[in-house]
Formats: sequence, structure tokens, C-alpha cells
Amino acid sequence: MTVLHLVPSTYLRQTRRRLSREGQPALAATLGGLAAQILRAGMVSYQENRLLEGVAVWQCVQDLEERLEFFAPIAQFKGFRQELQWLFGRLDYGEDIYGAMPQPGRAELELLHRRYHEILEEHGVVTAPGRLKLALELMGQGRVLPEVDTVILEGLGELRPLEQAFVAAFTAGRQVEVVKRQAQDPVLKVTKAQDPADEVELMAQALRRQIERGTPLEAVAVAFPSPEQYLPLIIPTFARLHIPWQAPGTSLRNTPLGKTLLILIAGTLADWDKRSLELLTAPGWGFPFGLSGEAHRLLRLAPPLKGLASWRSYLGQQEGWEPVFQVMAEVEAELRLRPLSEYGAWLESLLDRLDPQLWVTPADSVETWAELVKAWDGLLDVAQTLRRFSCALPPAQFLQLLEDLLGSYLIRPRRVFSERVQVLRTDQLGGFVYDYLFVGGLVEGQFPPHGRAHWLTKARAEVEREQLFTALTGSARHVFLYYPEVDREGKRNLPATVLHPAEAEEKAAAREPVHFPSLFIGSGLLNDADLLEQLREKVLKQGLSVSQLNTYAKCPYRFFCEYVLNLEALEEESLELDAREKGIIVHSVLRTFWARHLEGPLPSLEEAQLLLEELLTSAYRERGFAPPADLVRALRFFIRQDLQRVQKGFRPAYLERAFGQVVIPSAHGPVPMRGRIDRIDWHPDGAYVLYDYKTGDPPSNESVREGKDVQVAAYLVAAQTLLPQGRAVGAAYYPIDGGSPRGVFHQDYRDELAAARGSTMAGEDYLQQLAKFEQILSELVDSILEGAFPVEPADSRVCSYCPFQGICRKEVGLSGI
Amino acid sequence: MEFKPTERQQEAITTIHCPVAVVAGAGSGKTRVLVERYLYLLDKGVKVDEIAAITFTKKAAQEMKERLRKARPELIPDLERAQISTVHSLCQRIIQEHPLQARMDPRFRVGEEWETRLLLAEVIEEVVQETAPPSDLGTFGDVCSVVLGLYEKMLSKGDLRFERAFSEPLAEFPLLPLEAEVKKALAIVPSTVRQREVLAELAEEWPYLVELLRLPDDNLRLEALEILRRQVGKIRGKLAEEVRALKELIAFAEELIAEGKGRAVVTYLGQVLQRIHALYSERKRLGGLVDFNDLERITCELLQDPLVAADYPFSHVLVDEFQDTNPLQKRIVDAFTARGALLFVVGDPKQSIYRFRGADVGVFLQAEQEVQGKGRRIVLDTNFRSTPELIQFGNAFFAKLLEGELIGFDASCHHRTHAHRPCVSILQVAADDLAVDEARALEARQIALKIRELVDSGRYRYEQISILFRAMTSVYIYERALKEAGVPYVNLSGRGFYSKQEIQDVLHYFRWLEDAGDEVARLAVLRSPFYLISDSGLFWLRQGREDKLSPKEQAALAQAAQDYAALQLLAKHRPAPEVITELLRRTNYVEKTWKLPFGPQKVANIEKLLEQSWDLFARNVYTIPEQVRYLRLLAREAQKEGEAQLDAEHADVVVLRTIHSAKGLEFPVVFLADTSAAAVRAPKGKALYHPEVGLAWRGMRDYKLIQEQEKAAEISESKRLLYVAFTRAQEELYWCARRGREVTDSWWSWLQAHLESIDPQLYQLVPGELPPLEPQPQGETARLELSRYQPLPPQYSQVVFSVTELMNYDRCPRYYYLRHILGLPERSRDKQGALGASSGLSATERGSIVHRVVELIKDPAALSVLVEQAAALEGVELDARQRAQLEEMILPYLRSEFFARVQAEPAGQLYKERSFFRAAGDFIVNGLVDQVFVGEKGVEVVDFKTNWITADQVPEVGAAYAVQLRLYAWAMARELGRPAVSSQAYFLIPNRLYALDPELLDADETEQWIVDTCQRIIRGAELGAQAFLPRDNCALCRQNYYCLHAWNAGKDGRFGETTDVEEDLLEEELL
Repeated sequence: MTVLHLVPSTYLRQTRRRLSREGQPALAATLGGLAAQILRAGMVSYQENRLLEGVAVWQCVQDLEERLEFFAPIAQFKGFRQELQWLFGRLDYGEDIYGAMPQPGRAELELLHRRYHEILEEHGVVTAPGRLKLALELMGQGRVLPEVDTVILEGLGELRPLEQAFVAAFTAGRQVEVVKRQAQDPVLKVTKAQDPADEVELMAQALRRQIERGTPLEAVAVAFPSPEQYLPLIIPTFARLHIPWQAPGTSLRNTPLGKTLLILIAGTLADWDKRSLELLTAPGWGFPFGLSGEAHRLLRLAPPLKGLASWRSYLGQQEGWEPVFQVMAEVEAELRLRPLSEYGAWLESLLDRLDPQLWVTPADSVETWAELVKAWDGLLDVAQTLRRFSCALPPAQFLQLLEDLLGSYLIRPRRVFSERVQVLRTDQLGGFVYDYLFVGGLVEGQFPPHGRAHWLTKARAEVEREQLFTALTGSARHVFLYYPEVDREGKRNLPATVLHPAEAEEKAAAREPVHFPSLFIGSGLLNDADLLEQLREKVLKQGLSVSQLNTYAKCPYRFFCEYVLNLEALEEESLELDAREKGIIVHSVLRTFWARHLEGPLPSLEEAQLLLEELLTSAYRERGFAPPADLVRALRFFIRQDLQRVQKGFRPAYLERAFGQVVIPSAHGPVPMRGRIDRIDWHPDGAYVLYDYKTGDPPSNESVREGKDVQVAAYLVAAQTLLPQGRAVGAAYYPIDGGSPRGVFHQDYRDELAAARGSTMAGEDYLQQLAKFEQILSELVDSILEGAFPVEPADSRVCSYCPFQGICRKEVGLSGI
Repeated sequence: MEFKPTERQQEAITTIHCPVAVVAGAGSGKTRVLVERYLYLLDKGVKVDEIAAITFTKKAAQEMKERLRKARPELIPDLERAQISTVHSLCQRIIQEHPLQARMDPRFRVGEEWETRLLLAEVIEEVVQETAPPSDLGTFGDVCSVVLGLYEKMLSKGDLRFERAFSEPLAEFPLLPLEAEVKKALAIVPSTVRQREVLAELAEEWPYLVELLRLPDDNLRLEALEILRRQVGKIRGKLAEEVRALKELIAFAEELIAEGKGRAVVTYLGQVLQRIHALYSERKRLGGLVDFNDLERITCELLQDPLVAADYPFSHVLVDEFQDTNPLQKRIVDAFTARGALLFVVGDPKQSIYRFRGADVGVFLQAEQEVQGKGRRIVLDTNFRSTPELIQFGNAFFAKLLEGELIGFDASCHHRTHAHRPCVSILQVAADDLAVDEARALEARQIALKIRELVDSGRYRYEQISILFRAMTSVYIYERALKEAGVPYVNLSGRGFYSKQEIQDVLHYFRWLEDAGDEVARLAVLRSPFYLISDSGLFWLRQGREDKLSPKEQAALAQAAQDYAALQLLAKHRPAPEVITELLRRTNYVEKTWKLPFGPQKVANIEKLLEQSWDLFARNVYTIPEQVRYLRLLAREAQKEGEAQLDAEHADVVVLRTIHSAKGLEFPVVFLADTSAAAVRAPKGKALYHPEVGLAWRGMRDYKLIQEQEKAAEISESKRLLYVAFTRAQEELYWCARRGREVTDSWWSWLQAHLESIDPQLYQLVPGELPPLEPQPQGETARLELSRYQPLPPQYSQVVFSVTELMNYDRCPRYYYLRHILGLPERSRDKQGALGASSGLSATERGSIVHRVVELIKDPAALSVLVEQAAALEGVELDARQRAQLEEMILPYLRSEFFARVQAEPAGQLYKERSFFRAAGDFIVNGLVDQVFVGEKGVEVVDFKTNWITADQVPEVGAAYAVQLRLYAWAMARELGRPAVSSQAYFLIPNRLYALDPELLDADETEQWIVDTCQRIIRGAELGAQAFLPRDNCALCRQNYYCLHAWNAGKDGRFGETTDVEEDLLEEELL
């Protein structure tokens, strides 16, 4: 007597083991396996090819696209093709899905279905239901597998019409036994977790405890209504708790080869934006061009260009980039509306260049390399499948198809001999009795699933709630059920309706209030004697620039990064002129302008405006831009006011006057201070003022006086040494947008300087202010020499664009990443 | 506790035969009323399918379902399909059920905010790039940002009329009138020196200005007008009246130019927006993506189709929080009521605070009006939430504040018992001479100290206290103060996650991994808790003087070098979350961070990042470069990422949140922070939009109009927001303000304006003298309970091995490792076609065909047919030569004595293709035996071979199959219960038999061999490749192009190519 156990694929392994343990000469098979045996015995030839089935759906839609009316509005969507494949499956398993379908839809679906099978037939491919059907036909011709006289059906659950017919035909004239899981009245425990992460953590801990107590892994299982949704939590949690489990394989899409292939196409379609190019050249993941670190950095800091030509002109001069552009150009030439067979041939030829060893050699990591080899083989499979199809697709649709194919192709993982915990879908339960079963994700809508009407068939998935629950509770002797109170987005869940609320275990949460220790950022005072010695030596010898002092005044730690650590921030280039460049241009234009008019008669307003416009236009043109209208207008207005000011007595005498011999006294000796003053205007009576052009918002008069911004202060202090022959009667930021200069002016010259009321000071006050400036500068220098670099920005705006946020660890913004 | 409705609540619950609008004040139990009404409808025989309940949030929907379940457990199965959801879920359902009508991808999905924003940004850049924007729009970046802002604003209002038509033509530039007026001005007779000077200046300037004005260049004209305006502005005093007309004319001319420029810009923007909308919609459609605006718009359109609407035959539609509905949502609801559904809306116009998202309080007012004629308006005015003192304060204040507002004000009645003390405390700090942020810092410190006091006194726990903010811009100042005072808190504002130190630490490590030369990233990592290098240490490091670092730092640096190398390698082929996990493991980052102040929160944030990384991994955003770019976008496009919720909502921490996010919630103690800041900001931006006006550019007449309208609407909204904030408190409310530097239209100024009219018994003023901060206890106050899980010993249970595997292992363990453990394919070789065999078929194909024929053939005459059929099974179409060769291979067998014996063997004594699944010790071996004869003496096993060999080679090649023959003999002996007497390989090509050494037929010895071999394999698999040493028969190996050993032995080959193997001597076993 030969007994055949028919079981679902999930339990085939366990069943075979069980039978082998029991020493029974019994066979075990799945319905599909049994059909294959019958076909083999009957010499029926066919091919299995899941990839090809997927492509056939695309081809059937392409073939019939012009004849579709009912489905025409959605025929081009990827989702429609996925729906079709699902509907074809249901039809092939004998389900009646046409019931509530409108007649035109039915006719077109039948047409598409027919065409789909014609395509499969042309390629000799038989689907899983097709194989059952063929086997059924063979059974009609005579008895198959005569040695089997008893059939035991275990855990097969609800069979679809075709499966029912198949089972009925096979079991006819044989003894049949149906093993049904009964509700076992297991030890049941329901736990309410805070969220899915907490849920998986609780499950994993309980599972781990069970394993530590000696429960064989084969006797425990984990289930979720949709395990795939929980994967991002299961993977890390189980890894951390060292729970061995059967993880799904990596999809072809997520291998370096798959990523390279997809980005080659997607990048071309996106006209090679920067992100695509970065991914194409990403070490380890993109095409293995072997670019140097320098070459990578060049790209990282490049502006966000688009298009092969732009990249070639930007990066082309640098070593290593040409092969990249060659590949991009080749792909660009290949991607056009063309038959799948041509795409397939192209992929095959591309594969010749994607030797896995270019990514990693067996000597580096044999397992990683093996993954790549398997991926290569999978891609070859895909390419060869595509070669068999003639339908033409535009590149964007080809990319969608390829993403689908690569996403559904799982690379077989390395073989592991030790036992693994099974992670199942809840609807797979019922074929095996475990000792311990952990079921998570039991929330309303997921378990049982929402019974929404299907858009086309109008059928609702009718769910027998109690039956589901019985299958679940009948699958183990101890069942632990979990549900998360909120979902992954923090939105509230309800427990599955099969769970009785009274069974829910509340988690204790109360904690004693504690005061945390206060946050200690540190005084920022360096006390390493050698360091201080070096620092002092450098400062005393090289001195400090005005802008360095200003940086220190605004944030001592930024000064530490820039000056002491000598760090330079790497910033992405911009496609447009940024504020800094705009400032450079304006400075240069005004310098050139006044350089021509330091002496002699002043130009007329028209001449001045014309000249400025010319200079500005030419400076912008040199950089490939046109000057913005508002800047032109601002400068015309600026020069008008400036000329008026100059006509009142103060005339530009020095431009970009550098100084370096000025010293700031400090406790450690005099510190040279250097700088460059944009413009010094001289009055015939020996008075002069110092200006610093400002294209953005200048600091307030108040900030200047209080030393929060020390540029003006530094100029005034420097002027005493620099131009002892005259009298400094003011210094200010000179905004080019037409506003009044901001800084400090001597009251006596208010009219000549057309100074705003808030910026002038009477004689005594003015002198005191000068003394205050000297003191402020000395204090700054002293602090630097004492090694005081606290993280104390003058205000939060200072941090907004600071590139050193990551180092100072002040939580203000995002510019660090 | 049993619910006893008030009279009005009862009315709202039971009025089910006409439309009802319920105005429900804060804390008046409106959700309860909604639930009770639902139940009442069921009691009255209305079916679950006939009721649609629309809530504002998913949480509210879930709460409603939960309450219904509790109230009617017997209805749970029915309630499962009840339509109780947010309006967006309802829209999603309607579209999912009608993709054809909606012309949508049937598997569309609702895109995440960052995702659709990113797509939109790309489309905008693309469209703007193709155009030539008017220069007034600024740089390319400026244009894109203006367009983005406008587009989002217009969509939120459901307005797709992007292009604006101007009915009035632009007036002519008033050059002549200007000239005339200036002439008049110059003719004025001055009466003072100053006037004379001013007029002289004007006279001097005028020729230049008039020349500019005559040029048809708007920029030059504007320049001239500005100068003229300034000059004329100097004419003051008595003469000012004489130039008034001129001044007005200048202003008119300036406005005219601005209007003209504005119109050009608005026309451009309209066209661009139109194009963007079309392209963006198309991209979303093709990608199967929708956003919330689409959901509403598409549903609205769908429901206009009577066939679609008929699928939703609701008889009752219940809508919660109706005051925050937008006009489009109202149209969706109207589609149901138009088919006979009775509307029941609950809301509180005073709590309408989602204007920025398109909500329009007018919709509620309109619904109220609609109901007036045919239904009922019911006011629920009993506040069950707050103390009577809080309610009285609120009534007094808001009655004044909302005076004149369209929504009106209905005072609330109290229900709770009196607290007999003031429940509103006004905390004030003196901020006269301080900068705004400094003043905020003082206020923040006062809040922190007050919270400490409340908790230390035992009156409240931290978790009972919430600090509410109108805007979160300055929240970091409050966080700093709480940190300094040691108050545990969590910022749920939906901001700041990416700027947290711990998150930046990981992201900097990523940046460093991407670019080894990025010094900023490297130093950021080294100074972080990863390695804790001091500032001095960083200095010496930059100097190249590592020797100057402390020994501890030197060790950390060495560790950093090791970690970096390992992680960089890992990042090249492992997904990002694995790299983060390894990074955290190697650096003990979690343990180190736990010891820092607010360690648990930091650890929770790190866990959130890791979780996010796994989430991305699951969505194919897999590698570090991909994730870094994604996170950068996420941080930029969707900055509303709040910190991890520490221990969900149960942690004993103070919660910082926006008032918007606090809506619907209540807290024993509320701190209303930053009330001295401006309550509204006039809408900024160069371009504005208003549904009734359309687009307007700065300088246009409509711009000011919109600005005024917007500001007025914002002030009303701000008052409502204040009402919502105030009514969150159950026991106490702390109103936090700053004295000095008053801002008009701040909440504090509003309160001050009405404070006198409020009973002083209801509030107390708390002065802002702050005590010095007590030093906080240092050191660890919480213990990290990270249980260290050790790896478990592996469990093995009846591992299954095939005969082929064991044979291959015996031939070459390295081959076994490559083929059976790593799973390397042989496929590439197969595609090469013939491998030395003259048949032109692959060895596998040839073997399969021959085996199949030999298995089935009974009559030699059927040979040709069988060969053809067997070839077809392999998918091979044979040519005449191949067919002849195959037949030639099988014919000698058919003529052999062996075949005659097979033919003669009675049934039951010969098994063909016998499969087995047999235990050997703790292992199972499976295989398939070609033929087994069962005789009295025992079993005889025969396995057919199709190797292309000569008679001389039979002993050598046969020996290579010894393991297989031995295992078959063992298996059949055990299966059939008789000893094996022979086990032979039948080589069809020279038609010779090879017999296994009889000494190897002993079943017990074979079983022991199996157990030993299997154990060796399993132990080896734990160790890796080094446990599987190669043998030296590489020339015969099919995996040698993968095998380093074979390469070293001179069998070099590149991937995808085969080496030149002379003969395919060892064929693959077929199962």
C-alpha cells in the first residue's frame, strides 16, 4: 500500500521529515508537484517560466491595445497589467469572475486572456493552473501513479475549482482521508503592543525565550497577515536577538548588477541628473568604473547639471570620467522605442561587460561574489526571456517592465543547514501543528482582510472570520497573539475583531519621574599647553585678519574650525551666481569705476550710470549671465546717491587699501591685524571715512557699536596707524541697495556724509566709542590666545548656513548632511 | 460609566428625520454624540452600509469604531465593513472601486508628502527651464520657489484657474500730465531758503529725469519716478499742498508701471502654472500616484457620474469637525445628500484652524444656513472638560475677542465642580532691553522652572503637562531651557528629528564613508560620541601629530581607523541599515549615548532612524548613496519629522507640540508659550493669490487687496487658534508672556486689551523674577537595560542531502561548496551548447533524453518515436543527425541481454525510476534510482550513464560514480528490506556495465559513511569556504571557471566563459 500525502508547499519539507521519522514508506507532494509527476509520466512536454508569463501579459496588452475600448482609459498603466495577471490566474483556476462584470469588459477580458494563452503557447510555456489542467486531461485517459492507493489531504484549505476537480479526479477510486485542523483550545494569550516595533520586539523576545527553553525551532512559527509589511522590523530585531529564520532572498533589483542596469536606463530617461550620475558611479553599487576619490568628490561638489553634454563639459577634463560618458552615450543610443527582443539582445551584450568580479572578487568575499554571480545569471535569464518577444515598448515602459521582472526575481540564498523559524502568512496556517505560534499584526482591516468590492469583478472577498480564527488557533498548542496599538505612522489601530478585547494585556508603563543631569556642552576652553603655545606663536607671528576676528565675534567655535583646525567646507557648486559672487562682482565694478575717477572732474550722472552698467554687464557676461534688472537699477540709484555724497566734500582716495602693520595689544604681546578696506573717502580738511560695500543686509548700528560685528571697529582702529596724517571721522557698511551707511560717524560731518541720524555720535561719545572698539578687539584677541572657543554663536542666524554644525554639535539645522 | 446625555445632546442624537447641524463647543462631548447617534440609527433599523461617518483624523475614526464595538459587541462583524473613515480614506475607496471611470491606474497609491513634492519640484524646474521668465522674477531658483508656493496655495483652495484675464486695459503712462505738474511745481514761489534750495534741486534734476521718463523703459522710468518722489517729498510745509497733485500723479505712474510689470509676470506665471499642472498631473497619473488634493478632486468628479454615485446609497452621512471642511469636501458630501442622504454635521466654527490647508469656516456657516430651512441647528454648550474657573475666564475673554467675527461666540456652561482658585496664571518676564530671542530664553526658563515646581510639589507628573506653540520656529530655545532645568520632554512638533545630534552623527558617518577626504565629516564623527576626541585632539590630528593625543584618544583613533575600513567595505555591498547596525555595534554608540543627558530620547531617535532605514530598504531605497540622498530630500521637503515618541504616549515627559496637533486632545496643565510674538504675519512673497482675485504680483493694486484680505482672515484664524489652545486645559493654564517691546496683534496684546474686563479672581499674575538655577544632579539617573543576546547554538533536524550532493562532495568539497552551498549556477555553461560531445546537445539534455527513453521503452520499434517525445519534453528540436546519434546510443542497449532481462522481469520485481527519502541517523538522503531488480537473494541496482566514453575509460569513470552506486544500494536495501547484491552503472556508449566493489554494499557501513560525511559538511558550513578544500581533478570540473583553485592550477577562465574542457566525463546526476 502506498500512501500519498497532498500538502501545501509550505509544509512539504516538514511532512516528508515527519514521514521519514515515522519510517513510513509514504510519499508527499504538493498539488503542483503531483501534476508535474503525472505530466512527466505521460511524456507531456512543457516549459515553466514565470518571467515569461509576466512579459506575456505586457505583450498581450500591446498586441490588442488598438482594439480595447472598455479598458482603453487604463490600458497603459502598469497596475492594469498587474491586475490582468492576477485576473488571468483566477480565471485559469476556474473561478467565475465574470458574474457582475459589464459585458464589454467581459468580452475584452476574454480577448486579452485568449491572447495571453496564445502567446504562452507560442513559447511552449504552461502556467501552474495550465499544468493542473493538462494533468487532469491525462487522468481522464487512464489511471496515473497506480501504486498510490491512499491519498491523505492535509492542510490544503479552501481549494479553487480547478484544484478541486484535479483532486477529485486523482482520488477517484482511491481511499481518501482529509485531515482537518480542529480548534485545539490552545493556551491563548493576547498582547497589545504600543506599535509594530514594540510588537515585533515582544514577539521576538518571547520566541527567543521559548528557544532558550529548548523548544525545537521546527516546533515554533511566526505569522502575520502580511509578513512583507513587517520585514523592516523582523530583519533587524531577529538579527539582534539572534533568532534564526528563513529570510526571503534578495531581489535581483537590489543587487549591484540590478541597480546598475536600472540606473543606466532610469538615468538616461532622467537626462542624467546629478542624482542618477551619483548612483551610476556609487562605489560598490553602480557601474564599476574605478573612479578615484577625487573624481567622486568632483561630482559631489558639482552643480546640479543635467544632460550628458553638460556633464562631459564639466567633468570631462578630469581623469577617469571618459569611460563613464562612453557608457552613458552608448545607453542613450540604445534606448528608443524598440521590440523587447532587441532590448533583450542589448541586455545580453551589456552583461558581457558586467563581470561580477569588477565589483568584488572571490578573494575579497566569496559569498558576496557568489551573490553577484547568481544575479548575473538571473539577468541573463531576463535578457533571454525578453529576446523571445516582439512587442515594442518605449524606454519608459521598458523600465517599468524591467523593474517588475527584477523585483520579482529572488536570488536563491546560500544554503543553511541549521533549523530556521518559519515566518508565514496567516492564511498559510493550518497545515501543521506547532508547539508555539506567535501571530502579529492582528489589526482590523488586516485580519480578516478588508472585504472591499473589486473594481472590475465587483466581487467582495467574503471572509469567514471564525474559520480564520480556528485555523489560527488550531495550528499550535500555545498561541500568542499580538496587535499594535498604532501603525507605523503612529496612527491608531483597532485590534482584529476576532480578538476579544478582554483578552488584551495592557502594558505597565508608569515610571518614577527623574531629573536628568543638566546638559554640559563644555566651556570651550582649551588647556593643552603645547597647543596654546603653537596657537599663540601662530597668532603673534601671522596675526589675524579682520574677517577672522569678525568670525570669532560671531561664533568662537566656528573660528576654531576655520582658523585653528584650518578646515575648509566642501560645498556644492551652484548653477547660478550666489550672493558671494554677486558681492565680488559689485565690489569689482565699484572699484573699477572709482579707480577711473580718483582724480579730475567727477563724471556726470549719465556717464557714471552708463559706465557702471557697462562694467556690470561685462562682469556678468564673463560668467555667462546677464545682470539682473534689479541690480542694475540698484547700482544706478547707488551711484546717483554716491556722487551726490562725494560732491559734498568726501571723495574716494583709496580703494581696497590693504593694511597689515596694525597691531592689537594683548596679554601675550601685540598681535598684527590685517585687512583690506574697500574705500576710503577723503575730505579736503584731512578728515576721512572708511567704507565697506555691502550687497546684503548690513548689521545694525547697534551691533556695530556693541562689537557683535567688529569689521567697522577694526577699520577704525586700523585707520589710526594706517593714515596718521588724517582724522578718521567714521567707518561704515555701505549698502549698495540705496540704504544709508551703517556704522559710526562723527556728528560734525553728518551733512557732508549724508549720514543717517542713528549712525552719528557727538565728539566725546565718538572718542569713547573708538576706545571701546580698541578694547573689544583686545578682548577678542586675548580670548583667542587663551584658547577660548565656546560654542556660543551671537545669534541663531549665524548657524543657519554654518558648514561646521556637525562638529560643534549644536542642533540648529540641516546643512551638515 | 453609563452615558447620560444632556437634553441637547439627546436632541442631537435622536433627530434623524431631517438634516442637523450641531455647534459643539470645546469639551462638549461631540464625539460621544456622534457615536450615540450612530447607535441610535442602528437601533432604528438603519443598516451599517447605509451610514457614512466622516472624521477628521484616522485616530478619530478608530476611536469611533472602538466605542461602537464596545457598545454593541454583537455588531462587530457588521461594523467591520462600516464606512467610518476620514474623507481621504473614503475618496481612496471610491477611486479604487472606479479606476476606469477615473482613468486611474487600478493599483494607484497615495504618495507621501515628500514624494509628491519632489516630483512637483522636478516638474517645476523642467517647465521653468523651458521658459524665459520676466527679469523681475529674479533668479531661476527664485522663479521656481515662487511658482511652487503659488501652485500649492491654489491647489489647496481647489482652484485650477491659473491664467488670469485682465478686463481693464492698462492706462497710458501719464508723461504729459507729469511734465505739466512738474512745471507747475517749478513755478512755485518759495518763501524760505530751504524751499528755494529744494526747488532749485528739482529744477536741476528735472531735465535729466524727464529724459528718463520719455524713454519707454519701465526700469528707467521707475528710477526717475523714485528720484522725483524723493525730491518732491522734500517740499513740505505750506507748499506741500501745491504739489499734492504731482505727488499723486507720481504715485499713480509708479503704480501703473508696477501694474504693467505685474501683469506681465502674472500672465507668465499663469501660463507656467497651467503647464506645470498638466505635466505634474500626467506624471502622477503615469506613475500611479495621487496626492490628497487629487483624491478629493477626482472623487468629486467621479460622484458627478450617477452610476458611480449609485454605488454609495447612504441614507445618513455624519461628518465630524465640519468647521475644517473645504469647499471640495463639501461637494463630495453634497453628492450623497443629493441622492437623499440626510446630513448630520458636528463642528465648532471657533475651532476652525486649518485655513492654510484650504479649510473654509464659511462652509460650516453655509451648512448651518442650509439646515435652517429644513432641519435643525443644535448648540451643545456644556463644557465637561475644564474647571468652571477656566471656562469663566474663557467666556469672558473670547466673548470680547471674537466680537464682530462672523462665527460669533456662544458661551459655555460648566459641568465640573469649582476649583476655588484662579486656574489661569499669567507668567511674565521683563524683556525691555532684550533682543527677542534673549527674551524668549528668559520666558523659556521661567516655564521650565515652573514645571519643575509643579512636579516637585507632587501636584502633577510631567506627562500631564503640555507646552503648546503657535509656531515651532523658536522651539529650540524652549528645549534648551528644559534641558538645562533637567525637565524631560519630547518635541512632537514634527520638526527637528534630522537636526538632532545623534541623527547628524550617523549621517556624518555616512558622508565620511562616501568621501574619505571630507575632513568636516571626519572630524564631526571623531568628536561625536562615536570616538569622543577632544577639541585639542582634533587640533593635533590636523597637525599630523597623533602622538600628542592622550592614550585613550589614540586608542579611539585606532579604533576609528579599523571601523572605517570595515564599514567602508561593508557599505560597498550591504544595504544601508546593515551598515548602520554594524556602525552602532562597533562603536557602542547606543550605550555611550544612553549615558548622555536625555539618553533614552536619543536612543529612541537612533532606533527610529534605523527603523526608517529598514523601511527604505523594504522600498528598494537600499544603499547608502540612495538613502543619504533620500534622507536629504526628506529633510528638505518634509521637515515635519518629529522625534521618536519615547515609550509612545506613556512616558513621563513633558510634551512640546503645536496647537494644531493638540486639537481634539486635553491636558491637565497647558503652558501657552510665546504669546508675545506676532499673532499673524502679513502674507509675504512677491506673488500672492486669492480665490476671488486670482494671482497678483507685488506692486499691483490687487496685491495690496489680497494682502489686506489675507491678513484679516489670518487674524480671525489666529483668534480661533487661540481659542483651541486655551480650551485644551483641564485644570490649569499658564499664559506665558514678555513685558516690554510690545507687539501689536500678539495674543498677549489681545489679552491685555481685555484683561480688565475679566474677573481678577479668575487669574493670577506671576512675576518673572527667576531664582538661580539649582545645579542638577550629575551622573547616570537611568540605567540602560540592553540585554546582550548571545548567538544560540545551531539546531539541526534531519537535514536532507541528495545522493548527487554527497557524490559531489566526495569528488571535490570545493565544488560542493560552490555548487550546493553558495548555489552557483551552471547555466552559463549550458548555454554554450555542445561540450565536447559530438551530438551537439548539452550533456544535460542528452542525459535527460536517453534516461527518459530507457525508462519507458518496451518495444525497440518505438525507439524513434520515444526519442522524439523525450526530446520535446526537454524543449529540444532534434535534427536528423542528433536523432540518429541518440538512437545509436540506445540501440546497443536494446539489443543487450540486460534489456532482455528487463523485459522478462515480472511486475513487482522491477522498479523503474524509484525515488526514495531515507533516514540515515539524523539525516535524510533522497535520490532516484533508474532501475532496481528485486530477487530472492536481494536487490540489484542499475543506473544508466550517458557519458561519451570509450570502453577503456569505463573503470576510471565508473569509479567516479562509486558513491552514488553505494548510496543507491543502501537506500534500496533499506527501502525493500533485502540486502543489496549488486550496484552497477550501465554506460550506454560503449554498452558496458561497471559494478561497484561488493565490499561497499554493506548497508550499515554505508549508513555510517553517510552520517560521517553529512556531519563533516554541516560542521564545515559553519566555518565557510576554508572547510571545503579542493581536489585536483579540476579539468573535469564544471565549476572550475568559478574556482580560484582551478585558476591557480592553470584552468583559468573569466566569468561567463567556459574553460576548454576536453571531455565532459562527469555528467550531472538527474533527479
